[in-house]
Amino acid sequence: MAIVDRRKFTTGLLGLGAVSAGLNLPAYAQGKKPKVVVIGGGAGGATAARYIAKDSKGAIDVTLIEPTRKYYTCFFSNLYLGGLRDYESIGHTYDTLASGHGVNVIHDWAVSVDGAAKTVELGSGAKVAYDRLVISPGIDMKYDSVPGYSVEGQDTMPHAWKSGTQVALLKSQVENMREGGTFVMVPPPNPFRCPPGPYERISMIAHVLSKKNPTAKIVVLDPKEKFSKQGLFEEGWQKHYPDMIEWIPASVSGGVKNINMDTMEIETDIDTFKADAASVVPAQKAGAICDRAGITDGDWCPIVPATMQSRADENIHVLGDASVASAMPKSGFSANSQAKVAAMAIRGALTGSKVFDPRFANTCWSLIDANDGVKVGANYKAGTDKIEVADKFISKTGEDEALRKETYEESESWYTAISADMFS
Amino acid sequence: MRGAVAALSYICVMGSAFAEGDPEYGQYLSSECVTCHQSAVTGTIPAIAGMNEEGFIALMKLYRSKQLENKTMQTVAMRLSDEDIAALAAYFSALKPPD
Repeated sequence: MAIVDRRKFTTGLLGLGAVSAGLNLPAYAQGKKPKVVVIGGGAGGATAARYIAKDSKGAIDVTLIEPTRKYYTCFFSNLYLGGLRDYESIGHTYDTLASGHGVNVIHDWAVSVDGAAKTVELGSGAKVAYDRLVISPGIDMKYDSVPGYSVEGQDTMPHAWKSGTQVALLKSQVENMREGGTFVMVPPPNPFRCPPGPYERISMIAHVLSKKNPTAKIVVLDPKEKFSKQGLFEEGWQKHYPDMIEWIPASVSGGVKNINMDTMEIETDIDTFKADAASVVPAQKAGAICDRAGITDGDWCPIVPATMQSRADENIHVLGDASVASAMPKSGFSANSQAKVAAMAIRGALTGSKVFDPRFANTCWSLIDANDGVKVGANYKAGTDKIEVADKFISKTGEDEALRKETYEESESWYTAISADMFS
Repeated sequence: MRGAVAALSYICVMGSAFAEGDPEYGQYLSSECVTCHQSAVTGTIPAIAGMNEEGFIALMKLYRSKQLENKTMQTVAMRLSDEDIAALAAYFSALKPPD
């Protein structure tokens, strides 16, 4: 397949240039209504579908393929774990995308992509044609990356890394731990969805245990030597949950050697930890449809930074966790930002609308305890080969309580806003 | 040749972007703002739809020079040129304010 690069990426005017050069006419120049198909209705896909439909004002047919009828966000699922949100508050439907923006929402699985014919095959066997395809499937788990863990084991030690029922299950297991019991968290190796997520999860579980089961312990068996916002989390753990959390990097534990799901024992070089409840988050890769579309290189999908087009197929744009977005973390905010850049590029290519200099942004808020919020964020620009950091910031250790409360309240407001930006 | 056409196209588009208050450019830039600022007030983050144009420009410049606190807003403002801020101000001031 063709490799696209920055010099070839299509703007509306380049589309006209291509016409004069006698190349294939874009759909709009042939008088046809162009079709965009979006696979995945999360932060990347829902935003892309909404922006393409909204901003093209009916000039593009948009179809969204998403198996679930209600989408539970990963972001803020930790706050549900911590008892600070109810489950339904993180659930969203696609009703307004359909009724308000005319998006054709199909609740089915995309099972394969034929890049040459430009069609997507659905679980039902139907085929949907596209001029441009957006693939935003999120992550799949590499269950065998943790010895002894398996897809069957996800009910015993939930990864809970795709929100929904897994998080509800984990919450119940934490709340039903025996008095003085041990919770074991096994975070994933890099790169993974939501870099501060495992540590916010630990914080929220500690928040619950400190109230309901204050003699309980949390052991973190990390395959990494450092983690996102580490100084902020460690300061907060010491302040709010002294002596409850023990973080052990792989250089000390030797890593997880085996998990016995029947006995709830997690074996390392230094000890075998008997868990009363546990969350094991394995290594991750791009959602399986990416392999079937032939757009992966290893576990993830390389992209052209300015347009989020796949390096392997210029008619496909890859958003969010599945993409190699270099400096941008795998986060809902990042996916939402990338979706807007891709939506602009797609509208430019298919309808000749203006295309501006792409800009990306991300902020990740994390909650350490009720009203103790921290954040990290950055602006990004499209380099020739990679998405690059332009400016960045991070909360500081030692900030006063008023600022931390303000940061938490800001995150609550952001959640409402980004949910509307995806689904309203 | 195609590379040159692409480059020229790109410059043309970018050139038009610098016209003060270009609503299409303002709308594109605004897509970053609405991740946090929706048309209705969402908790502590203010709505900016329908905001006075001069007030918007003044506030953004205060964030850019870090005279106003909030690291997110300072970082957002850091890469905005005067033309960018003018385009955003024109775009948001033309929107209906929240009820």
